[in-house]
Amino acid sequence: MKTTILSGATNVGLFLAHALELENEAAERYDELADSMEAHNNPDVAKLFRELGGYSRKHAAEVKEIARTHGAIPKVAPWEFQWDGNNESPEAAAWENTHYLMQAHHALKLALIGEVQGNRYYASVAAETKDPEVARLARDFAEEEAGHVAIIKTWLERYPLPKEGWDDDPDPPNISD
Amino acid sequence: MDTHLVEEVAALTPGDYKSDVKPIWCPGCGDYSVLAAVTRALANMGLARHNTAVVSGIGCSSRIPAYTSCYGFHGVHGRSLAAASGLKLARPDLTVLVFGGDGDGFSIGGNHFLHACRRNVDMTYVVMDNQVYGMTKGQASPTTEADWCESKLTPEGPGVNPIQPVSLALACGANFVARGFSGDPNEVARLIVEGVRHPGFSVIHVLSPCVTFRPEQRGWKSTVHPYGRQPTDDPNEAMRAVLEDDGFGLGIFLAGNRRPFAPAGTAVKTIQQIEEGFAV
Repeated sequence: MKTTILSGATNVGLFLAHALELENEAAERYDELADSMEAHNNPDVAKLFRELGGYSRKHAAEVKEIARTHGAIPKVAPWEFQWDGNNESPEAAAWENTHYLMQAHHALKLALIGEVQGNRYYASVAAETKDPEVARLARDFAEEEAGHVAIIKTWLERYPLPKEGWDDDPDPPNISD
Repeated sequence: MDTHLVEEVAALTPGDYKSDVKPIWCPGCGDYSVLAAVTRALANMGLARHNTAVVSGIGCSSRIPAYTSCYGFHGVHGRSLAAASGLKLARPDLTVLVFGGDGDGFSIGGNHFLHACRRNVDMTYVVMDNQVYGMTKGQASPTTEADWCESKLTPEGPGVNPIQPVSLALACGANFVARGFSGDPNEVARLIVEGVRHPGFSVIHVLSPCVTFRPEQRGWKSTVHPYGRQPTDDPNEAMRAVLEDDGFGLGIFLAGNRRPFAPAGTAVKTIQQIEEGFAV
């Protein structure tokens, strides 16, 4: 099935702009989630989100490095990126799936969703583009995202789904008695 | 799209507009995304932080000035628009953004909202609407549905119809009226940019879920939909269209042509002259 992705990534410059934004928005979201978990006294998950943000920033730096060898890349407004159905970078974790008592398993699940979506994004570009350089880069990036998916799956084995009641709180924030 | 070098693209980032103060909103709160939208909008416009003022009232959403690196004023409950109007009239060179929630804006601040719309001072008001007073433990707000029964203060629901912010803004003369959803921060960023650039009073109604007191609002993601019409400059046409809207249509309803309020010949006084006026 064709996507709307190619209306955004019609050449190498635009494709790399998307790749950079994909990682930047993901890093920004992980940082926000880490801050939020710190504020709500969930330091373990905060640390995990902080590490995930670090990985995204590292990947953003790699994209920037690749971009330097391709000359100028366009400046694109946040709302002009084409993510095919996603409102944001496919790797930006969804806020609504967070909870102040969430555990490492839930955080890794969020990360897994992001990496799977990132892989799909690049695979779609690789399949649809007629630009051989965009296709080559998109294949490389898709492969890298597939590697991230595999890594997170191994981490998830170490952090299985917590037992029911993980979100029980004897003094919940919405108590009004 | 402009073409710039990588270094130039990275020159102004949303992070530059964030302060060192970390938000204490509940994880999952829509207000995080509105903060992201604001910083993305400011970065896109490249506004100088020292020439940008962020003004708010009281409530969860009104904490936002502390989370930005612009000049800010966390004001009195419901009075953000009064303070912001004074600021903009005294310093027309500033870009003034006002933030608040549905309780702050439409209950205690309702009267100020009406007159800010009709006065049409050139500033942008972002209302983060979660249809509840979250900071004070979940009471019904002016935009809460009549049959919402989850608050102990209104166990059978408020029993009165909710205010429709977009209709109210149009009826009272706001010059730019739009609605966004926090689940799409990039679109909210676009609306803020459009609102700031449009002359006059811009109202941006943002549906921003409260996951603590209104957890069912997580479902808004599948309820919102594009408004589906092109923006008009005719308030009457916008109002007719909005009357058919279900409250979840997203987009720009009005981009009007009213001239912003800007009194001619504003008197400029020295600090000493002002102080003399307050002398007892």
